[in-house]
Amino acid sequence: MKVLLPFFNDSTLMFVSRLQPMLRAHGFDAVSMLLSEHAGALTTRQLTMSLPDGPDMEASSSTMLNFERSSFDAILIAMPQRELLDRLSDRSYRSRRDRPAYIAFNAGLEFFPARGRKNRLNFDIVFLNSAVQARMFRSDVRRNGWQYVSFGHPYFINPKTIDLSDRTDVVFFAQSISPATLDSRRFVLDLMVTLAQRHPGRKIYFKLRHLPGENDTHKHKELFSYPSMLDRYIDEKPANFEFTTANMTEILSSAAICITCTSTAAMDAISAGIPTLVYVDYPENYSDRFAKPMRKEFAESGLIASIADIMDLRARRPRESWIEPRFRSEDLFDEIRRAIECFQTGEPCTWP
Amino acid sequence: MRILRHIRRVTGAFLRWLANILTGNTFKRIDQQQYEIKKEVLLAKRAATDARDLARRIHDAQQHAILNSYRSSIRRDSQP
Repeated sequence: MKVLLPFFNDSTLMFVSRLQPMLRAHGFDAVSMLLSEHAGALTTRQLTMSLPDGPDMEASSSTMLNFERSSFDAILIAMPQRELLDRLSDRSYRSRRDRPAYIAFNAGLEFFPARGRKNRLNFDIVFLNSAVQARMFRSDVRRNGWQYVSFGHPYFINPKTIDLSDRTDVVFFAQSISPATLDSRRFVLDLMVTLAQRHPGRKIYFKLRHLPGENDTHKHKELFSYPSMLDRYIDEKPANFEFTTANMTEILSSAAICITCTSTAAMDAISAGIPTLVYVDYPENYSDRFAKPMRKEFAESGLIASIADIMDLRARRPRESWIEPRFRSEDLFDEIRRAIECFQTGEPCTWP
Repeated sequence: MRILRHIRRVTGAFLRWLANILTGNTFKRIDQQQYEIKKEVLLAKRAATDARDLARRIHDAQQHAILNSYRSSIRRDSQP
């Protein structure tokens, strides 16, 4: 089964670079494609870090929207764009069966689920982040024609059990626009520097979303970069504190504890079996539109942390009751295959 | 006589009410009451905003104080 994975910015690039090997491991012929009109949005460093061999192909959005089923069985989309939404709102196009199935995922944590559901109304196959969201989608949407709705995300695979006894690294995952204000970002940087001073025996990695000057055309444009703030506000950088832009797989392979404010990386860390802390009490969090939904999303997880929890590295694993409606086993990929097959025959799809 | 007194009282009340209407007093009173209510609502909203801002400042100050206490203790421990 041949599936297309288009990308156009660093969020979708990350999604594709994570999803492609997973799909290949489950027998899909997964092809990554850079949307050519957005080629300038990514630097060579970003591209080669996520896809060392480069994208499998490069084409425009309009070319993608004209692919027939003979080229691809399905197109997997993490962030739907206007051109695609317009195409999918066309009933005559939707009713065709010789076209690929359009599969929608969330790009990561969805902080504004109502908007997320609205943007995925006309997709053939919709995977939302939680069982609750999938139920709400089914009850909200009355779409004419074939549609399959379920939940699951390639980052949210059931937590692994791993041996962490030989690991000591602590990783903080930053975001470009959250925390939002200069003071709150400076506070978070201070917090991590203090953590490094308190635990000189551990390496504290501050994982940057991107380097200064990158993602200038991304809708989430960073105003206050952490490396420049370190130069300006921190007198002495502890020797065990370091910025990194390494890719997620590499970082998670050596991390003992992960900390974040509002990054989807929390879910990656949980899935990798790494104890995780979510800190949303930073000063001026009320100016950050992601802080409140992040707190809500993680309220029942048991992972919301105070400064004391962070300083004493009291990281923990999430509660089972929180995991169950959000994380899936790897049968997610079998369900994707089954849904594509049903789309092609037009039969109603049931799973399991 | 009692009937006449009653009629006089009712007529007097009616005429006073009519005079109030004609001079706009009644409406002025209503306007005044509405103004007072609006003022109370605005004051209550402002008080709620002030309370929220104060709670936010307290929260921010608390976070700074907690982090500072850790920084101070690290500095103390690192002194010979």
